[in-house]
Amino acid sequence: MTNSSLTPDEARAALAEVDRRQHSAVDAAYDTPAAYFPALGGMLLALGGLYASNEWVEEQFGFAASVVAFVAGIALFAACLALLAGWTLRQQRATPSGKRLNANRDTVVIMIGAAVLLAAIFGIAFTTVDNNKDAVSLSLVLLAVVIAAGGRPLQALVRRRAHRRIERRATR
Amino acid sequence: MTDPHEGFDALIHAPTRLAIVSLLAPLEWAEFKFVRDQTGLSDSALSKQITTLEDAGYVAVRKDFLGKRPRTSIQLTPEGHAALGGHVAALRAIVGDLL
Repeated sequence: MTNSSLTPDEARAALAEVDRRQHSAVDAAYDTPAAYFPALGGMLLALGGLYASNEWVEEQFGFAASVVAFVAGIALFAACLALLAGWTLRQQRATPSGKRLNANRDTVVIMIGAAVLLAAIFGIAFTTVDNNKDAVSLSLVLLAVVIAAGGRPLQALVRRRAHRRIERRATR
Repeated sequence: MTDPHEGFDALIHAPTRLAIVSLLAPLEWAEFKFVRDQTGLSDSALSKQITTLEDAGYVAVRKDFLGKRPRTSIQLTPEGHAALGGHVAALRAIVGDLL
């Protein structure tokens, strides 16, 4: 279909509109509610506390009580995580495309980054306390702090990359 | 020399439909309410435009429930992506980028 009556100015305005709408969609797609990351960090902090206090519970109240407390704590953590995920999904009204190669590459980069971060956190924790159990607890606490403080900046980074992809396509 | 208007799609070029298709392009799915709020259209006006785009095969509509709340989501199909790509290329050609 052709339309020879369109002037360059009209075409330029239409291109600007396409660009503006795409950027606005990206802003909405990478806008997880502000409470999400601190809430997730808080839950991990509680999980770290549960893991760290398990031995004390066993000494004070016996093995059975420690198992019950640990299982109940994990169940509560899972329920809170499901509630948080459900609430976040309800707030999210647009999801970024995962089909494009670049978006998949972002996911791979984030997963590799997360694995390296976890290894680094455990390494730091193990070097600090020098035993596995306390290192796991400390790792959970450190991870909680990293997620609570770094979740939004990391998301902003991913959002910026999505904006750059649109800009690159626009100038190609 | 290629025709600078090749790929121009009059169906997409209508301002409201261009806004809808452009919004959907970088997204996997978008809620109907999100598109409505972003474009400033009424529910009925947006429904009409979505139906036109759906009939052309440019968008897919999904209706499901999130908990007890009904939710309508819209997605740009591969045909829609191709049509938008061709349309943008035609617009650039008119502007003079490719001449």
